[in-house]
Amino acid sequence: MKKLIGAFVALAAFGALGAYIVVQARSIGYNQGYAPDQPVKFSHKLHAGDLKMDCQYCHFAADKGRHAGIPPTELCLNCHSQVKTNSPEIKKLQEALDSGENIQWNRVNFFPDYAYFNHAQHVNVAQLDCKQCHGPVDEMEIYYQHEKLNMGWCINCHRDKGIAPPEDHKRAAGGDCQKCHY
Amino acid sequence: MSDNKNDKTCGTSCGCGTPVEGYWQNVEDKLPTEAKTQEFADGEFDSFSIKKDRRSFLKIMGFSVSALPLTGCVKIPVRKAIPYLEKQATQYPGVANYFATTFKGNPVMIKVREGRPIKAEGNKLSVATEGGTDAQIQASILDLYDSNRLRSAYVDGKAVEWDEFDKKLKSAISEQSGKKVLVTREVTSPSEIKLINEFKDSMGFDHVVYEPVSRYGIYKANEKAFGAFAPNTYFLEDADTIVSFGADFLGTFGNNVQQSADYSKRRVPTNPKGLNKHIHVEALMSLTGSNADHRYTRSVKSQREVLTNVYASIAGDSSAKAKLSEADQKLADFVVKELKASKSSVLMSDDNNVDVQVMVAAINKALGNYGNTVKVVKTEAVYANDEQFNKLVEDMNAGKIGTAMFLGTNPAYNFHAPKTFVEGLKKVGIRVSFALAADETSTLCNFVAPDNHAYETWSDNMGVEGEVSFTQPVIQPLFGSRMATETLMALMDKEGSFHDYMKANWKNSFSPSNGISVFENFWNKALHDGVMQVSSMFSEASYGSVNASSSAKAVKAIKYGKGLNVVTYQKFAIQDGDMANNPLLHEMPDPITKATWDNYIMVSPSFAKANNIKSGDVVKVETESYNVTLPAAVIPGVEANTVAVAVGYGRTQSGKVGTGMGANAFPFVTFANGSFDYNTSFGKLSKTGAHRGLALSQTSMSMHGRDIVRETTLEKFESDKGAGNKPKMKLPQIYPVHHQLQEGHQWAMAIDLNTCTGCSTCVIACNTENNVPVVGRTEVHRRRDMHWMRIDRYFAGDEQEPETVHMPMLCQHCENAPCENVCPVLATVHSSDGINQQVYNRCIGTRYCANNCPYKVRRFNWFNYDHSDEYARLALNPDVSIRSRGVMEKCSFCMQRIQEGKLKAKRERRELQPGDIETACQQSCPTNAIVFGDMNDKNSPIAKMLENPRTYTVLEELNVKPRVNYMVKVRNKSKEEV
Repeated sequence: MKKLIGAFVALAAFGALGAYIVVQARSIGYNQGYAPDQPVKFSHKLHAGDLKMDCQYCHFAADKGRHAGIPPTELCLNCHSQVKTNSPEIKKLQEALDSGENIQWNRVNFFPDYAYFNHAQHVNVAQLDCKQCHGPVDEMEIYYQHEKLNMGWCINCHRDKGIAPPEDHKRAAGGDCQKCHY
Repeated sequence: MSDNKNDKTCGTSCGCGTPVEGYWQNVEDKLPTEAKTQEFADGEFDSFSIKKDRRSFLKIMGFSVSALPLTGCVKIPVRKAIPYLEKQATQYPGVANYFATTFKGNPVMIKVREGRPIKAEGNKLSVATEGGTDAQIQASILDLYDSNRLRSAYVDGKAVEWDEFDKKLKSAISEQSGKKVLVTREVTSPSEIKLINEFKDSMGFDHVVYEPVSRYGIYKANEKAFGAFAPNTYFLEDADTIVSFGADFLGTFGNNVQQSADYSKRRVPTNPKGLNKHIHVEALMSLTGSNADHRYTRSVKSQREVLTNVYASIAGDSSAKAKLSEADQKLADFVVKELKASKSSVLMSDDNNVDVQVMVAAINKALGNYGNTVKVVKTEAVYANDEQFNKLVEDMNAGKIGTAMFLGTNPAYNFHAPKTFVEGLKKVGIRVSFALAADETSTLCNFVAPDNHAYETWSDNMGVEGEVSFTQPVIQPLFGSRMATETLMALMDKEGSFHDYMKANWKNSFSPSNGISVFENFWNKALHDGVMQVSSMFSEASYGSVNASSSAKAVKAIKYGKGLNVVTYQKFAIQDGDMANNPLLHEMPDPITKATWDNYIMVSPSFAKANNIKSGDVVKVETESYNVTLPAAVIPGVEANTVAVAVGYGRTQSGKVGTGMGANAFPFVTFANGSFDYNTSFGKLSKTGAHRGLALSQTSMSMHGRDIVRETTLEKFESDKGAGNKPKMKLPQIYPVHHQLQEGHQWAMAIDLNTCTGCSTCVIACNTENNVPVVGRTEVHRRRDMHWMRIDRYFAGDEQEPETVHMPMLCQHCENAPCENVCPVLATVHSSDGINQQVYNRCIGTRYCANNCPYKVRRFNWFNYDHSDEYARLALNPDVSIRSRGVMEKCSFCMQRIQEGKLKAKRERRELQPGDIETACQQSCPTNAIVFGDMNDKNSPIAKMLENPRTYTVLEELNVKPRVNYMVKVRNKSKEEV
């Protein structure tokens, strides 16, 4: 009996380990939750949450084209030439502008070259809320990748919203491969 | 015509040929880094060889399996994201901006992404080009990023700062005795001319204008007849009959883009003015000749004789009439009859002999063509003067010249007697070159002041049809170069930039007009539009009087040499060789011979038969003073006693790509009767016994009895609009048509074979738009060219005087695509809007699809083509992914442009309109032969074209239902011919 329980426990442990490996392996390469340290300690929680600034004040390209863009350093100083000018973090901005050597942010969200994604399509045309893909940015002290950003994630959303292929091509963003891969 | 059967092959059935010994074999040696191929390293796959035993196999397998989970432990690579420091007012990341500028006299729009120019397109606001381009314009972006360009100014071979350069050159010029000369190419920029004139006056320089392929004969004849040293401007839209003696006006003669646009309008058979009639007489098959309704092969000598008799009949100068051979007299009579019967006509010749051009002018005058189909327009522009330049070389050799500056010119390569020039140059004390990259002349100069590329330059340009176009920089100078105009200004101690100079120049001549009352508004509009009508700069000259009779006598008195006539010509892509370091142009198949990467000796089929020469046999052509050894190309339509060699090749100093490619043909040019003569060298041809197969993109010349190209004559067309076409086949359909292929947007294309001239500009446009790699000579020779689009060329009829058709061939986007059925991994599938999609990431490279494609338009990546050149890679289109080794690719109907057009319409909350989406090939086409659009939009041009009775699909009987349609070619043939 003991032997049987032992075997059962071993089997269960082995199964659990297997399941864990499978679950973990499936998320390899998606970088969900990736939250690198940034060269300037910028808080989205403070700016987007507490101060309720509009996302597109800084990410102004989001409704114009492919990339939402990281704001030009000059744009930070629109406010910070007056606000908290003595903070060591803000001084980094002024230094960058003076020296001409810009701040190198660590990229969080990443799409491979062979996948085409367009912010304007989602922000401007579909009028989606930024949070839908980027998560509770207004609560993020350190910004992290909220979603998997893999192909299944794209397709699922398009399918749930009924704008997916292949039935409804009129509203585009269908399931044709070359909608995104070319 | 190619004969690669004699080649040894690599032993597989891939059809490749081994290059002949003695010629370069290694692709890396000859190619630009863009095309550097990554061949399998020796032993790369040894460890996986099937010859290994079972234990090794298990070891490798075991390692692979156990290594797999380890990949999960790899750290996330840190990618940097660097924003702009300062906000760029008009720039958004990922959004392209277009700027108007000018390249080689043609107004263009440059697509700029994140500050880097990636594509040149036509400017639709131009009344001259109407948005057309040519191959050199399309390839020009790569020249901007040529890493071979000079990085700083040089004095005696040492790099110096510009301040120091100016100081040294100024003092050197002031100390140097002897005459001072500035040699430029033709200058059509009013501001540059003004500056050069000031430079001449203040610095005591002479100005000599030199063109390697000159039209001096025309200018000089016009000076005699009109009192204006100026070119002819042709208005081919108004010409019912066009007679050309050797003038390649769709390719390399005159304003080819404007001429193509005007010519093609009258090639549409439904044009209310009717189809024009194009008669072409030439010694070798040219791009323009291949489009003629009647084309005649005649030697240069008989062309002149026929022209003299045409002149005698039309101008009524019976003294000029000579006795010709029966065939030539018939031809002269035919030309005269057609010209006289036609209400408006034009006759042109590319002969650089002044007396021939005087006769041409007299013929056009007698026909009343001046002011209608051809105009001589006086401007401030300065044009090539062969006599002055020849005199300059004499003076240089006599030691009379102290200072010589070469702006945009490279006579050490392209002067007809390069040795004489080089000897003369050695006697010149101060030698200044403005070359962008080291060339044959600049390496002999003690001062080198690299000029900016056109896309880094301010300038203006007097075009045709009263149009001025503006050149503005679209990028900061990439290397340490400086505008040549600013170097001249620095020597004159002139303050400010050339931009300020040019702007002040325009401000001075500005007067309120067209509702623009403030100069700044004018200036902004000029730079925004890139073109502006400024008719005050152009004045039409009127025909005075000229003694054409004595010219006719002089032409008759010309003595010709004995033996084989060696003529030189320009290829449409390489032209005079100033863009010889551009791999795109080298790999563009020549519209006629379909050869890439080389020049060769064109011989006629009858000559080849008589001397037992096959295409690819290396032959030597020699005249008294010069010889070249090149492979032969047997091409129909070449005159039997004529061999033709293209100039622009054989550069000895032209960077990685151009250096040593082919052989230089410029020394075959002679200086005769006061002008450069490109056609009257005589010599002999001998076989060397070697063989070097030409790298052809098309090796089969036959349609194998199928009606791939359909054509008819105007006569038949007039009674039946569907003449030459066949009724649509009723083919069985097992499955019902998928509803998806009937609803929504359905993309389709139509190509009019009547307006397509075969120039192949679209091929280069497609290359640059879609990041199509350049593969190099060896790979093209192995039939591994990567062009998504090709122009098939077929000859018909007589070998000496063939008829030619050009047919653009690209992925046909078949509704029942045979490639899709055979893909084991669903890497090629159909989209709901009718596009045959290629999914690179799914493709495993079985190549079944390419085998099953009836149109042979799929291209396989045999290698990872290198894109690591830090400058050339800036020209890549960031919207199109780079394909890697082992992946199939093909025309996508410019999917990225479709997506962009659709998104733009959506952002503007409107329906998609015809014209919102243009494919790259369509945009580049100078003749609007390609129409693309949504065939479900009944008001769109494409939907209308699909209903045209001339429209058909190729290989309709296969029932693959192509989405690319063609329109029957209609030739305007006379009932009675020669």
